[in-house]
Amino acid sequence: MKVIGFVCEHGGAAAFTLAGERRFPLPSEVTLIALPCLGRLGAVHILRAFREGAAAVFVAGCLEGNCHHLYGNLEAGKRVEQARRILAQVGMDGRRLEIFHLSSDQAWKAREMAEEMVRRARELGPSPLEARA
Amino acid sequence: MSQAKVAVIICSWAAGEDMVFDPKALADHAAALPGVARAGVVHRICTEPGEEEAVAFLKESGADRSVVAACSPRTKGALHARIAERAGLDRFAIEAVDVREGAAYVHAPGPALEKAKTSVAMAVEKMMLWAPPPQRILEPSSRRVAVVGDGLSAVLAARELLDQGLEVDMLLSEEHLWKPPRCLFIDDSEAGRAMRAMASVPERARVLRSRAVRCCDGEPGRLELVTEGPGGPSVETYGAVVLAPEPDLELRDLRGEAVSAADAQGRGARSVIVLPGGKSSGTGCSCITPRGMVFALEALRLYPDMRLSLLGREVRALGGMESLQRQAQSAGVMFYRLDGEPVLEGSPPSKVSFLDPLLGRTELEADLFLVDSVSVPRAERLARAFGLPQDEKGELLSIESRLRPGETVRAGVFACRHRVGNMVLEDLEREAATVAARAGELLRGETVLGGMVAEVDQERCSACLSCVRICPYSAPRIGARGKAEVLLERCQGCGACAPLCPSQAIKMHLCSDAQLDAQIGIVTRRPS
Repeated sequence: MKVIGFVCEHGGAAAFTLAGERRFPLPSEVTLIALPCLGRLGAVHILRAFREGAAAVFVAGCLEGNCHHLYGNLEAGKRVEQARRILAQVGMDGRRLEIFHLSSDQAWKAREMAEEMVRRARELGPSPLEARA
Repeated sequence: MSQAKVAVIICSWAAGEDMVFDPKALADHAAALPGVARAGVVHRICTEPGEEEAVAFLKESGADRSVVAACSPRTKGALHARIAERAGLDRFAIEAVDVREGAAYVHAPGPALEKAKTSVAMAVEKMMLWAPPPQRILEPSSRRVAVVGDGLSAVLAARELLDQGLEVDMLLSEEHLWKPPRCLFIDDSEAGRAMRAMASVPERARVLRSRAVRCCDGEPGRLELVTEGPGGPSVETYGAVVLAPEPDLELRDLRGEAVSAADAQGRGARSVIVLPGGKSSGTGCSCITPRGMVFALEALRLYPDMRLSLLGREVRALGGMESLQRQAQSAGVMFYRLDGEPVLEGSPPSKVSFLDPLLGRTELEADLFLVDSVSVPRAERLARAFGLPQDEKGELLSIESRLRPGETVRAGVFACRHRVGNMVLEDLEREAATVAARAGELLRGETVLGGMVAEVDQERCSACLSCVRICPYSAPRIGARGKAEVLLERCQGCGACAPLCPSQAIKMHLCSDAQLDAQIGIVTRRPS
């Protein structure tokens, strides 16, 4: 079972790095893909992750109002909504996709996020698209 | 494209000090990946011998691009670029991947190695699709730096620049330099040091008085500054611009009027309480700062009967400031700790109530309340003239205060920050030195532009303005051909424009759609 996390360099990725420095155990199902800013993320990337069989996808960036690139994290919120609508149309549970906001020192939150998404993925089972991927 | 060859370097320290997995096993796995010319372990790449070994490794590998698997790459960008350049590669041809904090430290040994393998495979796949990004070394056309500011900050920055042998124009918005506030100095020797700078520096620089900056055009190394003043508008070219807006550090009463110790006495105040600026006011913090202590000490020296109380979440007394605090305490200044915001009662206020973590709910009476805050009065005007965003507290947004100090989002424009340390003389001096060093670096031709930037495919662009509207940094503009183009020196590589482009004309270098797709593909690939 695969969970993909799109993380921005300044918030998400930095928080995961800190979680690593603190030796927080993280679920190994989660793999991160780093972006310069969440603004870089298109709905197409999220949908591709699902199409290729990811059981859950999360997007993690800076706190609202505190984006390193001013509003990339809010733009990403719109993309997530867009992707969620399309997921609903193809009959996939919207809980498989989530956006989180955190600051680079919230290592605990990074861990919670990862655990939460793995929990959801387990609860909802493997992606219906996984067999096709 | 089939010629792409990747060299994979695994740092011997990649698995952490307890060697959660064997770096050699990771190298062996990497060596078998398609496109990898050579993979091996280098002993501690961040040390000098490690760097030499990595350079030699890359040279021998015959590869034209590289992946480094080590610890978090956040602070290693310059090192990796240097290694690549020394090995004859493009400086952006190294992809760093974190297998220590990202794998070794967070998973059990078995899964950690698997995760590291996946991460390296993702990076290799990403690099297979790598193409040299647009880039350019900045060649300054002028050794002259404009320092925009009205007070001590500007003087200190000018001094640092002059000491580097650069030419300096000081642009004052008024006729004379502002006098630094007394609260900036923790003792008389500091005040003397500052006064000497105020007197001597302007003699060495060219001082342009009463000039308001209207706009700034051009590129770093060749910035055209349009100013207006008594002689009419003028345009000058500078290699770099340093913004040193003067912070306002005065203690103010509740109506916002600056109050000195003598003013307090003049108003008949027998008991004075200094409240923290907190979130509401400018760049003030919720702590007790040296400003409050200097004020209190001065007031007590002049008027020994006055009662002085300082409120704050904690005492901000870094370094040498501890002796100041001790001095204030022994002089009879009261320090109160508070949780949350203090509440003022009465009209005009005569009482403050707050939650002291030790004393519980506490009430204090006073006949004068002062607020300790820092604001930067000219920041908004400068932000507009230079097209710089401001942060939530009104300060000029810095691109990355820790890793890229002094830089603003516009290359070639540097700014002193005012939310550093205690905001005493030492902090101003340090900030000036930092900013001057960064400007000097640019003028020595050591700054490289480009790398992770957006580029618009001129054939595909339909000039819909999506990118122009979304960009936080005004990097895209409609060029002479009627198509959008991205200014290398403004683009910060956030990528906000790329997903919005309806014609898919925008390519993000070093983070392209194809590269993201390739990484997703590796993650979701099932073991064969």
